[in-house]
Amino acid sequence: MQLQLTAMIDIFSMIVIFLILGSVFGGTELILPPGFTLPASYSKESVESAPQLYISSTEAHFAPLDLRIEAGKFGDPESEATKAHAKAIGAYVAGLPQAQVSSGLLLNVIADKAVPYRDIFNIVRTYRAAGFQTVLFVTTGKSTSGAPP
Amino acid sequence: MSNTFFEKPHRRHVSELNIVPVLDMLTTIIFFLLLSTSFMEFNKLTVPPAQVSTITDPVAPPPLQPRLAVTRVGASYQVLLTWAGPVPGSVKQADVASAQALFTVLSKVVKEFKVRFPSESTLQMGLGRDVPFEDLIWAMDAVRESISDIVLYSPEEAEAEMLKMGATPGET
Repeated sequence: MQLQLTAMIDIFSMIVIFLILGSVFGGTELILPPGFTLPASYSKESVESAPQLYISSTEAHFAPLDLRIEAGKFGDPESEATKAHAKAIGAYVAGLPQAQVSSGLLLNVIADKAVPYRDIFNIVRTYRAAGFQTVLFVTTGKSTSGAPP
Repeated sequence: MSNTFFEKPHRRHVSELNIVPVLDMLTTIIFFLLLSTSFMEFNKLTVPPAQVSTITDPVAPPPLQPRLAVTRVGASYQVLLTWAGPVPGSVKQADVASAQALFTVLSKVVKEFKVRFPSESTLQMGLGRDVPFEDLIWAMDAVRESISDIVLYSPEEAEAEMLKMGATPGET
């Protein structure tokens, strides 16, 4: 008697198609520029998949648009360079799918540990005004707790 | 010849329709639809006539809006925690020698505040303009041991608060 496999193949085909359509593939890749050192944190939260903003002591680099600007420029929100940068970021946000924007737009901030708070605050303020609702500071993990390294 | 004459004419062979896969698929789809269906029920709600009432005694106290400022003078740090509310107050700690000591001081100060005001879940935090990003992360780690929501405010405001409380505003 020949084994009847048709039914099983049908069901498995449907399950495979269902799983393929229902899966969300997402990877988070961080490429640290040379000379970049991330601060350490005890936070247990993992990195989310989001547009990446690199901040060094000299410049801010928005990776999705390959947009670079001098970090100190953000101190003056009325300067032409800052306005042009904010406009480009605003256009990028406006071009994103509405579902992604309405669910809360994330921004990964990857900053060198020596960047002064003034630059961090000014840059983050500009990006929040452009439409990024949640800012995530990317750090390296520390397994122990109690005090900074 | 006679065999050929009386032979039954060839009839076209019609194979039996295999409906097993169709039944499988339909069964799967029915299960899927049953599981993914949500049944809605409409209820009637009778709203009483509108009334106006005035509450003179507020049930919930106003938020205290705690603000934490950290500035750096040379290699040491200053910490200032202020809050508003019916009984405003502040805690100041100067001459915090290192980043490690800053973590300990912040952790202790915020923990004591949380014990005193357990309903507070948000803290505003501002650092001096030259405090490095690494110290911001450590400060956030220390604060988040007790209070999860942190809102950052500008370095200018943090330094102005330090100056107002009689401390050195920080490096420029």
